[in-house]
Amino acid sequence: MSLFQAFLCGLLYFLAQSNVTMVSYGTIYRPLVNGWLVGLILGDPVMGVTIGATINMMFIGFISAGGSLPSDIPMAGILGTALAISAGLDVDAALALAVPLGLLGAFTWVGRLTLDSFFNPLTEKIIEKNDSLKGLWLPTVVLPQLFLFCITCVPVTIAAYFGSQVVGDFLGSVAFLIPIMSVVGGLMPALGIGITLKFIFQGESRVFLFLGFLLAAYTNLPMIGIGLIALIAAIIYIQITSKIEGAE
Amino acid sequence: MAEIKKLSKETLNKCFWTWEWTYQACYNYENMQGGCFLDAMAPAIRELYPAGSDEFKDAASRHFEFYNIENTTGGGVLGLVLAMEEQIASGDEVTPDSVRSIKTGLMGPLSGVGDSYMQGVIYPIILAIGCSYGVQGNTFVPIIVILLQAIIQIGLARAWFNLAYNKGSDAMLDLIESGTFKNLLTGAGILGCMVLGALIMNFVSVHCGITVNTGGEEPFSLQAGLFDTLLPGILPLAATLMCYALVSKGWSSTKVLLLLLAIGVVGSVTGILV
Repeated sequence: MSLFQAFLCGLLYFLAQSNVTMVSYGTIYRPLVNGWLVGLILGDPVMGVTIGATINMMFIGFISAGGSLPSDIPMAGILGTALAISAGLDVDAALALAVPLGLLGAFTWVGRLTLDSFFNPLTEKIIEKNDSLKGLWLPTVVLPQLFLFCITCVPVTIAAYFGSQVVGDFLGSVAFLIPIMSVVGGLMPALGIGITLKFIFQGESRVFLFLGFLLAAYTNLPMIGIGLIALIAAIIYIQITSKIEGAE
Repeated sequence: MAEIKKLSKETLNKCFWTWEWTYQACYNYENMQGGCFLDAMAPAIRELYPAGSDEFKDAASRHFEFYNIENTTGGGVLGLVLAMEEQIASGDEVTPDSVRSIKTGLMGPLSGVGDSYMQGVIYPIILAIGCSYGVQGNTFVPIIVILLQAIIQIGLARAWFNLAYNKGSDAMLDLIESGTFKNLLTGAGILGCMVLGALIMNFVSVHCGITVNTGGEEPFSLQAGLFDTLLPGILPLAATLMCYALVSKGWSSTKVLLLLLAIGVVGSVTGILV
């Protein structure tokens, strides 16, 4: 990996963490997307999206609901994919790499939420000056993002650049960890789905969880097929319940 | 009643897009999105109040306060607050304090509504279906994911924004209370639950490695002989329901993650899980 490619990976991690809506949380934050982009940077988008999607499956349902996340998802996706492609690892080894990378997590999150508070007095001063809020975007956008750039882009660039040279040998000496990490990686979606269920596993919707589960367990329907059946089931349910309510 | 000052369309758009792009650019523990909300309000404050006046300063400081809301429903509160600022600037009976109470009163419940459809349903479904194609090396999927997320998020935020700005808080609350909206949320919940149920089977993988020597040629495998024939996916289902129960009981997700890590390592080393 060239230094420039490593820098692009670092830049990608900065964008993923930027919290700027359209480029961040719903898109570049997710390994499905950032793995593909890392693949493009390194000249192998097919491998990138394959590894990215595999890592993303591990973090499916990991969401921040007004709180913190236990994992650094884009770190796992970006560094995991970058190191795997540049060291020529297979998907299993990539996953073994991504699990600990993701678990390292949350430092960026906590760091930025703590230190961004220091920009608030500047905003305060701009309000006090009462001069048409001139320069307001400095403390609310530019400075916090510059600071974020320093704590995200720089370390990931370094890790991607030097990591690709050592990770191959390193994984060779800890090969016994790969099956362990693959068991852990298989368990992790259970947590993400559990967190998401906290929002929607309520009332009469509950039984549909088991319907979806059984459909997947006993048929070979692809995800999109089950999604469409679920949509129809939801519509039928609402039609019937509103008829009943209307008749009362 | 005095003539109501109306903000120009251009200013409204500026406020909306600033909110959409940078609503969390300076996310911090002290006031969360406080500074960024002020940033989104700034174009309107500049248009409504004379520069350098006390009214200008008051308006700026009442929007630089603790604020934390989900993005799409947050678009609604922004629209609402813009309409209220128009009335305050026109000398209507709306008091600055009512703007404060609207913001703090709505951010909790509306974040709940927004999180349940965005993070509970839309994100997981798009990503789950995307991943199931992505693992096969489909390079179009990420592009579709990016487009879908952007269109849905901006579309919903704009719809809330327009509704709240044009019709006010009553219309917004009426909508949330209405049967149609409740039906939509129920439908979204059903859709989400069913897809998540399928995800448990397809994404969570827990395999039991225990074999029992029965004296026959092949040792009896608990996974192949019992679980896979009776109910494939029973172990992933159990693992997921355990996580759900723990999270609902108030365990932090970090704690559950550490538990899974422990189960995985111990299970793998002892050969119970493979």
